[in-house]
Amino acid sequence: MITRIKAFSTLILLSFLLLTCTKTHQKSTDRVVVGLQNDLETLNPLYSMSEPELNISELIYLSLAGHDWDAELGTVTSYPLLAEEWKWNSDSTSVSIKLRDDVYWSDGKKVSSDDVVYSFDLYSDANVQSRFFGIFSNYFTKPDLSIDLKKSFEKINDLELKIKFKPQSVPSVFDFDMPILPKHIFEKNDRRELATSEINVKPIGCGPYQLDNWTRNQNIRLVKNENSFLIKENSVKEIYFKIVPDYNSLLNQIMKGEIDLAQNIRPEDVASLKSQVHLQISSRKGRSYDYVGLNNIDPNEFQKSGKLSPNQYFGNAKIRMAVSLAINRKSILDEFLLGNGELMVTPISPIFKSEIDKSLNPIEYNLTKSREILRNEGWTDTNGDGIIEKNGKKFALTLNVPSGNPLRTYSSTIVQNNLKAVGIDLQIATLEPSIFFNKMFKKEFDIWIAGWGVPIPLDLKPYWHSNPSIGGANIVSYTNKNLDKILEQLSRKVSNNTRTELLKQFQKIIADEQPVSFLYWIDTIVASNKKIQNLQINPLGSVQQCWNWVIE
Amino acid sequence: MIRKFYIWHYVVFITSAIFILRFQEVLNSFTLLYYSIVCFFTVENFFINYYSFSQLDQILSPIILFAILVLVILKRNRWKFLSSRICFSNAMLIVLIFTFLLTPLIAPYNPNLQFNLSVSKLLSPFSSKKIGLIVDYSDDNYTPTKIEKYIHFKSIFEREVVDENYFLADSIITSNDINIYQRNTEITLPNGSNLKTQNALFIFGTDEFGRDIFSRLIYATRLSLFIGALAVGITFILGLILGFISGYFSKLIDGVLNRFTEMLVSVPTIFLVILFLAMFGNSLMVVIILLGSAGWMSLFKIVRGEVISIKNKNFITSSKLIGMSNWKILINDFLPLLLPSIIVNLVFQFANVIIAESALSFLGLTGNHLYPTWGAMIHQGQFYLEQAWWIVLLPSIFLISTLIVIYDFGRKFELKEI
Amino acid sequence: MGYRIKMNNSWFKFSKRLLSYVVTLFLLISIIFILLRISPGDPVQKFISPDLHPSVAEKMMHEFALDQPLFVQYGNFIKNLLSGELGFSYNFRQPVSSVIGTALPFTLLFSLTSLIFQLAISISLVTYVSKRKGNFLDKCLEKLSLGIYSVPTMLIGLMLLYIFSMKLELFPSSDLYSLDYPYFSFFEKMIDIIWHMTLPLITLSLPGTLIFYHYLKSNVDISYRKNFILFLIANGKSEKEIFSKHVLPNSLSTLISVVGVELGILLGGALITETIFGLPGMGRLTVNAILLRDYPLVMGAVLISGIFVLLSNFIADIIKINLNKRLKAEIL
Repeated sequence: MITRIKAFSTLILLSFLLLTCTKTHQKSTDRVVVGLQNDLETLNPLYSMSEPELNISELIYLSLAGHDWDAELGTVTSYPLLAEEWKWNSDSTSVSIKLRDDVYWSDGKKVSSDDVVYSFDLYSDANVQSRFFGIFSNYFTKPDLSIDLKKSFEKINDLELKIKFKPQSVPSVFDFDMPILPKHIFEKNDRRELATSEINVKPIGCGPYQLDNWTRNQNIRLVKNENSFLIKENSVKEIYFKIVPDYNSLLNQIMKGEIDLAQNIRPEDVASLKSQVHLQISSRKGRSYDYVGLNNIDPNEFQKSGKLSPNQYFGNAKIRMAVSLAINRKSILDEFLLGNGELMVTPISPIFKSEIDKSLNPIEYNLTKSREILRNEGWTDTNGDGIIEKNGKKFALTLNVPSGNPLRTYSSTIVQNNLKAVGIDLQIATLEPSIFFNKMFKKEFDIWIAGWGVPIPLDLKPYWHSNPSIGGANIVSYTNKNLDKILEQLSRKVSNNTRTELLKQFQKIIADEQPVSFLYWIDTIVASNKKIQNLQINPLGSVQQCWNWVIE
Repeated sequence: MIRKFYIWHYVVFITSAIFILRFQEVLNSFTLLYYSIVCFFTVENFFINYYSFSQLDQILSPIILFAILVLVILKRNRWKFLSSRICFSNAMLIVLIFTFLLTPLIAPYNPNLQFNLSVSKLLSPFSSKKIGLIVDYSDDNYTPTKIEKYIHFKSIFEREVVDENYFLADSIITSNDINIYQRNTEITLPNGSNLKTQNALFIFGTDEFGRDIFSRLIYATRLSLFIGALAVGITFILGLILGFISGYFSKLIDGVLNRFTEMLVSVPTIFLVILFLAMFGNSLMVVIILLGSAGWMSLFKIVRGEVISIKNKNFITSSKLIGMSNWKILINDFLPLLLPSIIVNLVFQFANVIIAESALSFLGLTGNHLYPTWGAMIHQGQFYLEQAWWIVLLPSIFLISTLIVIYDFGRKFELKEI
Repeated sequence: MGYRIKMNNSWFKFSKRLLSYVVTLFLLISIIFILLRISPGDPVQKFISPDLHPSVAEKMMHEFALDQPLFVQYGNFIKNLLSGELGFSYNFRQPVSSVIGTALPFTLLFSLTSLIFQLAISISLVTYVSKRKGNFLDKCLEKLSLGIYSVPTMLIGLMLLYIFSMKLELFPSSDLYSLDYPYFSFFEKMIDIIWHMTLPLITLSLPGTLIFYHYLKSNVDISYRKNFILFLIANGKSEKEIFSKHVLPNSLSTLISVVGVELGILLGGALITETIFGLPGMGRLTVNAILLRDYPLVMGAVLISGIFVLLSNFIADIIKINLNKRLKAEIL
């Protein structure tokens, strides 16, 4: 027994010695390692929904056009990708697209305009239910919302086609910038089975990078496609997406240089990352914000009969203003986000520099004013228990928060505390995201904390229009006829000056009425290795235009 | 030298220490009691409208304090436990009992009181800051009614929020004008304001919301022990009744219950517990019931075994013949015999429940209650492990000490009746 | 003649045992199925958002067969189960069996290694200590064991993480492999895995080792006092032989039953350890699946875990029976 133990321990000792000897390894020098916290579910552009899925599928499958961000003006400019050029006609109801001549799918077949037409067919097909289904309102569509191919597409030859849009619509490059799919591969599958077919995990693309290997829950390896016109001599050879669900180990690997690029760095780690010589910290601003949702309608009535009657607490704009005055959003911004964000005024992101109204200021933190408003509206504390009442009804509610988001968990505690100071009693209920969003969309909550990501280009109608079929994201059911009119006018063709004026009015109304209590814009913090040149980190993304990346 | 002291010396020492350190609070409690009594007789519907459990808690604390003191001094020779020597387990047990009973007295602040974040975020232990208190003497001629005095007093006592009249600052300098420094901001108040300055000492530091960890720890001890005790109570009832039924009645019921229990034992409980939590929500009652229902199996086996071996004895048959109901037989005849082994099992089960509850709240599965538990504090602190390791360390120390105490006492009970 | 009857008897008990295990498993699945279906929350939640058309969500519901009555769904599930198919995970868009297949080997490896580790360490310790009674190590372990045992798994994990990984930077803080794992030689791969697994292994094994040590030691002490040992000593057998051939096997049988219980605890402990150290195992997979309402994956995971726990109990039973027979034969 003893000798056995001795032998065993010497073996372990030897191994450890060997371990310390062989720790230096040859790392591949022509590789960028991107850290992801969750694995992808699919590489099929039809179903790619999360940001990494979009980024990677757009590297594998090319779109007709790509986008650049102009930080000065706060606008998006487009440049040709798969399309060599496109020309709008005089009244912008149709566009002629000429494809590049030198793009091939990875199985050798050349990309043609048939692929383009087929792609849009799939994207708009009701049987496929792709992520783009139903958004082709500028096209000629059939009653089931799929694109009427005969009316919309005219194939001139294998490399040229024309897209015709509905008259009176306002089409733009964004209407045809979806990734193009290979017809000869996708048509082999039954349309209903596309969600589960092998294409999801073994893509055939024409983009600058191809999938080399995908080990689920571990990594995704992309290698450069030498035949792509985008790839230059010194483009990065391999992009390796490493899946590290644990945030702390992700951070550790960034510090040690094992991961070169990662997003969603927590604010408290920025300082220690900045002290690393090989790292660079950038922020992507203004794409997402958090808010405290104040249901404008009574949820119980709505559940029972679908009737819209004003919420007994938040149906009144003044009460909503009082809530906004009582929340110390600056303290959350300073203490939790450590300044990596911006106080929010209206849902128009500050990155759209030409469209925001700089004269509007964020709501201040003023408890006295808040208390005064509440008192004037009839809410006072008659029995000294710290909670205000009106007509015998206490201002006591449940604040619903989705779990798994440290910022929202933190801010819920602060909001609860802030509102207690003016006499509003909140009980925090943390729900799993699936339950939470289910109930939120059914408008079952009185007050909650959630957030939105904002699209580029600016799209306000789904969020603020009072008609539920248009304003599907107007969860609080905020109703303002003037606002509706402004939104409708914005979706029609207007001159730039009119547009600016309309947006100004929009912002003024929102700021005065406080349909929800806006908290702050959240920066997405990106850590990158300085060795990567030509990184584009802007509101559009951080893993973009990877063919320009060069390792020095 | 420490070994020379008995438990009752120790108890008297602690009681006096608490009394001296928290003298102000004891006075406040008695004032509150006085006001409550006055208002009870003068104001109608006092209990319903203005009274709540937390005031009862506050008022009872010093009363319990004195009661313990008197009791221990009187019974020091009669109760064996009080005359035994101090060891780590005994001392810790006394500390836990005191923490459980006298929570409002020992905790200096409300556990949910978030101080001004810029001043109080993640302070290290033994930090001290200044509290500014502005008292409004607006209406000197107005004599408040008794009920208003009560409300005013209560709000001072149970401060739950900081606002413009009660705040924390790094330093407050009173010269011509009053200057208040809160990290990077400086607020100046004119000389006339009635500002009182107090010292705030954060013994165990603060967490990321600016809450005093010492107070949170005291309340967490109470809640964790409370959950443990209730869950064990449920286990006791379930195990006892089911074990009795299984052993006492027909073989068929025995067989079915036995199979059922075996099935539950062989199932990986932790997954079912997580599943139930996800399904039925994570309110306090659900957690307690769940924890209680997860551990009755071992008690069931013990009770069943003992019941089977005893049930044919003479005194049981005679009770049956007299006509005692089964329930009475259980209580009067079986229970005294079963008690020693039950107690041993329950003590270890108590430890298991506390560990289970900590593990579940550490994983974040038990949600937000009004007061934290040890596991919840560790869960919140793990994100700040590098900057503020004390948030994890201090609840862990309490948790580990409690477990040591429980295991020690469990072993002692076990050995006392081999 | 009598021997053969005994054989039949034990086989009968054996098959009764087996049957009860199968019934248990079946009941487990059914209960979980019902629970999952009645609980609130929807796997199709991610398909409802302002950018997506509402009929996408409806289609997903249909695809997952969630709009059919309960009985039909149950029937389908059992049918699939019997033919070996566990269903399709909503989140991973893959068959449940392949998702579990990526996580299960790790958890098995981890738990098994931990078990072996625990047994090896505890047996070696007991062997060492019983030779020299009352020495320093003995007293030390006696006092420390209660303290260490009281520290819950998560605290051990956090503590080790903090000290060895954050402050001293001796061990990696998470994952199973380093970045360049595919480029390693076989030997280096082994070393890499061992390096990553050291802290988690210690975390998981510590409480179990102490329990085993305590149990084994008290059993060994009891065995030493038994008469037949005295008899053997009087006969002049060597210390070593007595210990390895008689004392140890006797005490081992009681240890085996504890091992069965310990395996159940291991699964739970592995959950916490996997979370702290970011390891790709069943524990984390199951918890995430529950939180995301991935019904088929949860069912599959609990089924597999249940099977393994039952299996290990079963094996423990067999070993116990075998050991006992052998001992009985030897003593008589």
